[in-house]
Amino acid sequence: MDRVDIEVSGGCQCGAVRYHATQMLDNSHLCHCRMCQKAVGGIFAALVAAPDEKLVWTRGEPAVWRSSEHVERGFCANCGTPLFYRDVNNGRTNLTIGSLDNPGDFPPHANSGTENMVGWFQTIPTIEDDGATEADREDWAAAIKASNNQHPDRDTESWNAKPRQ
Amino acid sequence: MIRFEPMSGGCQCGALRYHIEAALEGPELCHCRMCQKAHGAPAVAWGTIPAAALVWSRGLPAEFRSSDHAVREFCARCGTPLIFRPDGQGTIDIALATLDQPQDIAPEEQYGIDTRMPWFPGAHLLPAKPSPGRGRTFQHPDHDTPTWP
Ligand SMILES: [Zn+2]
Ligand SMILES: [Zn+2]
Ligand SMILES: [Zn+2]
Ligand SMILES: [Zn+2]
Repeated sequence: MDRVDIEVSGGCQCGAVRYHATQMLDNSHLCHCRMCQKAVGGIFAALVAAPDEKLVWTRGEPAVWRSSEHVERGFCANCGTPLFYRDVNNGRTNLTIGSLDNPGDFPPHANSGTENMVGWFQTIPTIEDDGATEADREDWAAAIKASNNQHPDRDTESWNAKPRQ
Repeated sequence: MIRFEPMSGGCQCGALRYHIEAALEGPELCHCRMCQKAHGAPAVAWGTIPAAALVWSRGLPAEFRSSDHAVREFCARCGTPLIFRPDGQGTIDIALATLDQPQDIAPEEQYGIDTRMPWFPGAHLLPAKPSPGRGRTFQHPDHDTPTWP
C-alpha cells in the first residue's frame, strides 16, 4: 500500500471531535459489508486510512465501540458521526470519507464486502436527480443553512460544539 | 412509495431497536453535506414515515440538534446514526441501512446533487472484493431478539 504525504483534516458534525493526519494510505475503498452498513447507517462505508502514528486528535476524543474481536469503531459521543474503522492489529485507522473536510480528495479504488452490496447498487446512475440541496425546497434549505450546528469544513481556532439534547 | 409492511431495525450494537408499521415514502438518496457529516458517508439512503409509526422496542436514541429545524438521532453506545427528525412536519426519515432487511429498498430520487461525489455515479464499475472472514462479531443480528446480548 503506497503512502502519500498530505495534510488532511476532518471531524464530526458537531465539531467536538477533530483529527489531523500528515500521511495517508492509498487504500480508498467502499465497504458494503453488513458491519460497515450498520456502523454508518449507510449503504456502504467509504474509507481511507491514515497510519496510526501519522494521525492526531486535535479536538476532543472519539468514543469507541468494539464491533468485533479485532475491530474498533470510533464515533462522536455528542453528535454520533461515525469517524473510523480500525483493525487493532494493523496499525492504521480507516477514516470515514464523509467526515473529511474535503471528502472528494480520495476517490475510491474498489468495492469490498460485496457479498452484502444492496441489490440496487448498479442502478445508481439511473436514479432520478432531484437537484441541488437548495433546488427542491428553497426556504427549508436556506433555514437549515442559516441555523445549522455543523462544524465548517476547515480547522478552527476554537469552537463551541452544540451539546446533544 | 414502497409497500406497507411491518419492519424492524436498529443500531449496530443492539442497544437500540425499533419497529415501524407504515409505508416508506421516498425513498431517496441524499448527498447533502449535512447528511454526509452526520453519517461520515458520501450519501445516505432515507425512507420517510409518519413519526407516530415508529416505536422503540429497545432503548432510546441520543439526539443532536443539527440545525434550528431538525434533530438527528443516534446510538450513544455504538454511534449508529438512525433517524432525521425535522421539526413540526409529523414525519421522520429512517436511514434505510438500519432496517433489518434493507437490501431491496431502492431510492427513487437523488438529492443534494451539488455535493455529490464526482465518482458516485460510476462506483458500481470499481473492482469488487468480497469480505475476508472476520471472526466473532458483536453486532446485533438482523432480526428482533427477546433479550440482548
Ligand atoms: Zn460531534
Ligand atoms: Zn466493512
Ligand atoms: Zn448501538
Ligand atoms: Zn441530506
